[in-house]
Amino acid sequence: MSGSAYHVTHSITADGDDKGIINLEGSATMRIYLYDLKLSCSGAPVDAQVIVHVNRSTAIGSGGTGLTEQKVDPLTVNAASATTVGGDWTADPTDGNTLEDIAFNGRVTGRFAAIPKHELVSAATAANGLFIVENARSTGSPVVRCTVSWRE
Amino acid sequence: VPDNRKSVVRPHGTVILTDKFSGKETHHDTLQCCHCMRHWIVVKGSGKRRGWCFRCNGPTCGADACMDHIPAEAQLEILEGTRNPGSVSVGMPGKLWVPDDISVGDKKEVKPSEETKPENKTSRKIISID
Repeated sequence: MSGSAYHVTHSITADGDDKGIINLEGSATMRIYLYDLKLSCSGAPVDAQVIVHVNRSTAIGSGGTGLTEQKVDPLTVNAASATTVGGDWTADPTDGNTLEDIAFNGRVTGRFAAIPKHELVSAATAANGLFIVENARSTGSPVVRCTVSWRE
Repeated sequence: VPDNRKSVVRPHGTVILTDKFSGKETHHDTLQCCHCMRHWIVVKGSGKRRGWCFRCNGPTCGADACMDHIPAEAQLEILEGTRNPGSVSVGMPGKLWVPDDISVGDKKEVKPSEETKPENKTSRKIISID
């Protein structure tokens, strides 16, 4: 695998539909290759179906907070990712086309892994990136926890 | 190992669902559209209509927009503004193979010709999309 690899984890309370979890914002000189996505519901077990989408984003959200990524390989030269990682917006990033959608029960842990050369890729354009969003949940307010790994 | 773990010979990804309490794992293979780069879980007998692009030599997701041959890399370059969309060749002789009863836009059946013979040995139908 070429490039530097990073991962980040974030949780949201899915008390509504179309609620953003994590946005990976690339740049005009760099594409993001998402190769691993882990999903679960933390807290008390809940029987709720949750649908999570991985979309291309074409504009960053507003009112969000930055998330701190961790490098996958401790020998990675670039300690800090060139990707801007955000979450907890007041206005979510703008969705582009959907690259992957996963439905899982709150009592189940879900994982998506792409083989090399078949990752989910964002365009190398300013403010563009990949947006992981809770698209819908069947009932209640499950706490959706997401860990995403990418290289750049 | 669950039955559906190997639903395709060369999957492009995998979705693994693990029940936290019983520990039972369910594996689903995914394929990726060679045009829009979308992954989907392969479900045998689902009735979903997909396609195959002979120019990319890869599966397509079946969406109307993906019936034209615009490779994923070209689509990314168009998004990035480094490729003129008008310079992408989407026309024939690139042909898409789709199941017999699919209805995709304005299609017309063409007779198997010399150039399509290698891909047209069995019951496959070659369509051209105008």
